[in-house]
Amino acid sequence: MLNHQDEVIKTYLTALKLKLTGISGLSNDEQHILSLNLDNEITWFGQHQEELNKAGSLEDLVDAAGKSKEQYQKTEVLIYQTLGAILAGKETALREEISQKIKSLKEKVGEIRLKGDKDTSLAERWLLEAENRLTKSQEKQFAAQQTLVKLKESSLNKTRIYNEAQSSLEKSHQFLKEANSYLKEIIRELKHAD
Amino acid sequence: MPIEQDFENLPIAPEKSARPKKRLVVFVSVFGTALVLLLAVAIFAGFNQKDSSQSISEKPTPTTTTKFKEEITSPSPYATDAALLKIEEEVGNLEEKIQATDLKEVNLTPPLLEMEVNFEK
Repeated sequence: MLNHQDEVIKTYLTALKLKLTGISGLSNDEQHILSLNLDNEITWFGQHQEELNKAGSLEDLVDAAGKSKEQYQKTEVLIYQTLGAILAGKETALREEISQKIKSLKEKVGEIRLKGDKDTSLAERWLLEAENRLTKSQEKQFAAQQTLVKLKESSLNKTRIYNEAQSSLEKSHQFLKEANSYLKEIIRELKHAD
Repeated sequence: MPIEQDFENLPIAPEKSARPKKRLVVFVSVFGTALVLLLAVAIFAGFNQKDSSQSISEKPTPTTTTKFKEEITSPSPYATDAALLKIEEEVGNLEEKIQATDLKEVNLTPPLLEMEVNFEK
């Protein structure tokens, strides 16, 4: 059973690592550090399996089981931090894309304003609102990251802390939706005559 | 010779109008029952055919979704602006991407493990 548990942990950590490599919104450094830590955990549980196989007595097995339990406390922290980083990475990538679209629209609105053949005051106001939503989204993501920092090996309910962070990220996502809706409205406004 | 007739014991002539009525009722009821039975068989056969055709079909019928496109009644000079239309398309794609983003990652929920292991001697 202990051997199978180690195998489950190793497989799960490998899946997590694979998911991590496909996230574009994470910095290379963050991705590298998390990946390295996941590799270290995979190695630890691999070595633990060997230790279990070599165990000659019941005392050895009890000792190995204790080590596994202790190690998993650390592994859990890494798991939730990685999951949080994956979700935050997705948010960052989307925010960067929206930011690009705001930039393009700002240029277009500036061009229209210079020509003077269309009132751009409403579009400009909504551009500010869209930017405001991006800032709020960033703040919620920061709050989620701060929550994840609270995770310690000794934390009794790691799942609850992670869920709290995940909830902040969902709020952050809601602001991204609103920012994008503003962009749609700006385009609609520019296409209509005054 | 006078003809004697026992008027009291004359056989009672059957009512002429009652028999055809009874026959008609029997005929109608038999015909009606047969019709109902036929209908029931036809409906049952129809359902069976429908069921079998449903189980045979391999591909679901494609559902076509038409995107709502707002009609601009009073267009500005920028209604057909290529750059603006490009941004509009990108923003639309981005919206789909935002909607499709999974922020739960249920597939990556940590495994439930029993770490309290007891060995009985």
